Amino acid sequence: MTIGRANLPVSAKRLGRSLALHVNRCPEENMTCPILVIGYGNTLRQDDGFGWWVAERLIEEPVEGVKVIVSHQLTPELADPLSRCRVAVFVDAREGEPVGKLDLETVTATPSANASFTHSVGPAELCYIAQAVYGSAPAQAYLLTVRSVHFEHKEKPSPEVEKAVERATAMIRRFSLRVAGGESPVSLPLEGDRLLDHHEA
Amino acid sequence: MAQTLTIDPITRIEGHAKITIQLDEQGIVRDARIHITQFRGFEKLCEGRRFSEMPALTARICGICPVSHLIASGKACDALLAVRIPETAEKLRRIFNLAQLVQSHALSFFHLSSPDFLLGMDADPAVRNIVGVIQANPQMARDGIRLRQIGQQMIEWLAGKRIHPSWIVPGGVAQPLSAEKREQMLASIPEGIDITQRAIAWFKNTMNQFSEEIQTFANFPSLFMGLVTETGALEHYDGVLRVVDSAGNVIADKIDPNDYEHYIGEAVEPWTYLKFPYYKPIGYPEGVYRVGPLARLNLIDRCGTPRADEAWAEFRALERGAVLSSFYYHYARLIEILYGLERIQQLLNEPDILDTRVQAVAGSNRSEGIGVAEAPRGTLIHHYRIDKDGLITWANLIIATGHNNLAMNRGILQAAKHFVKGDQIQEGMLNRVEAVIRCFDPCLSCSTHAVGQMPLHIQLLSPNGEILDEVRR
Repeated sequence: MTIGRANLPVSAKRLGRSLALHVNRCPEENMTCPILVIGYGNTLRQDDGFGWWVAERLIEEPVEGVKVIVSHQLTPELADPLSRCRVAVFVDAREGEPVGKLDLETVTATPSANASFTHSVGPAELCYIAQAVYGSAPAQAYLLTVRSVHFEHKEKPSPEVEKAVERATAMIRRFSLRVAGGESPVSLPLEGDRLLDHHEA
Repeated sequence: MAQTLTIDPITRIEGHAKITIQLDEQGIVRDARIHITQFRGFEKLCEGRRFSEMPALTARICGICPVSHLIASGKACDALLAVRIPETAEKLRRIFNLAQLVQSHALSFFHLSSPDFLLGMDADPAVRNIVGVIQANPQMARDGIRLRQIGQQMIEWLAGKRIHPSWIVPGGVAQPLSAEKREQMLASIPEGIDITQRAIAWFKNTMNQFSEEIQTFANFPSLFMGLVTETGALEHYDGVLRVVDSAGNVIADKIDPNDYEHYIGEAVEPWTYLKFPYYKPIGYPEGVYRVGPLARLNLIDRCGTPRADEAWAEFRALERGAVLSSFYYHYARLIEILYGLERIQQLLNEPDILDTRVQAVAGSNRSEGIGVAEAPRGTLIHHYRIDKDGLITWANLIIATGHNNLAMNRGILQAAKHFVKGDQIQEGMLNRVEAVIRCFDPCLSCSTHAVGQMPLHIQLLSPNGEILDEVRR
């Protein structure tokens, strides 16, 4: 991921800060989990907190076999837990419309061509670091983002993104249950997942 | 024709800034400035809030060093309560502060600066990053990640979470340390020490490849300021302020941090949002001083832990007086990591470290409180005034990066004069100018409450603003 491109997730693009609040929900710190969800963003910048809120919902109602990490940004040390999961789901916000629309893309481990590495990395680069440093990267990785134009100094999401939090949480939960249940192969989105709200569709 | 060369923004620092380099008619550097282009205003936001909210509130200034703000703010609130916090609480705060120092210095050295050391200042920017580090020296990449993990994990073990923890409270800390967490922390320290000693050995061998940078990276006489213990040892939590000159002579000592206003003034310039603190007895702008790891190692008579003392003795032997080149900030950072880990180990082995009395409870008993601590980047000052209801009426925060503002500006001018030739824009040349700033590891998020990060944008401008040349990456 090249930082600074117009279509980048907001928290990767706009924040100048490296933060990593990790909330682990696997029994042991170093335990391998089938699924790792990393929700990241800045809850002080309105809809940029999308990834954080999705992750918190998953923590509130945990799914067995799912490890959830909440972070303000992706930082290199996240490569360690990433190297110990089979499936990774990154959750973030990006600038764009319609507000509240979810976008889903697969992530391939790739060294970034971005020269201006600061303290943060993108999902693809993080998977690459996991492979290069720890010898293992997730077999499947996704980036789930929500579109928004509301990134003011507020701590509450816009109504559209608030609904998107619910849809994204349900989507990840259904997916996780099927993966953790041994079903294979399973890929996102599942049948019935809604990337757009009914009112927006 | 006079020209201006602009580097906007500077990369691999925390926050957002740009550099302008003013050339004369012959293309020779005439002036250079670092502009902090975003406004902080955080002090104003604090007005009207309850003082007890200040630790949690000011910690939001920055995601890199929230712990530093928690510590300084907690101390300012202790002063408002007019209490002496329990000894165990103070020790736990010290561990917290040092764990923060370990992870922050690891970030600066391994993630932000090691690409320059490993791949060279002239390397293609497409490879001069963490991926380049992984390819060139996988062990170093692993070490950097692991060392940062150790510091971050300690913060989480103490406070329950790594970012914006609310564990520091006025009067002490919210929860005591458990025996289990103490054992976990102690178990991680030997690995951290091994990593740090390996990095110090590597850096000592590598430094000689950068003799030109050592000579020209903010290498000039200045004062140095920071906290020391009453007996002159390295101190990050409490103690007294000391000022030394470039010859290493102590020119002011045992300054009560509450008297900081007698020694530190703050000037403003119209071209940047970052203030210019200066040493008042000398005046502005001549009163240039540096803070942070280089300054701290120049101030002290010893570190106070065995391995760090050994490393410090070698460090101080680099020069007769104070070590003046800001390139050595990197070296000083590694020695401070070593000290931090050793000191945490000592504190965790104190017999009362698991004591459950960790908070003094009181209401506000003073109308003014000052808290001073050493953040990774230097001396951090929180100063509050409250009304009879405990609401903040005035706040002043002097951030480490601000203290270094005069020195950073002088440093980029020195480097620009040496490396920048007006008719050429070369990657390595510009990166060296930026690298001077990275030596100070400025935290612009803190010093301006800026957010944002953009790719490098360099413009060569004529006096009338016409773009003569432009580079983006």
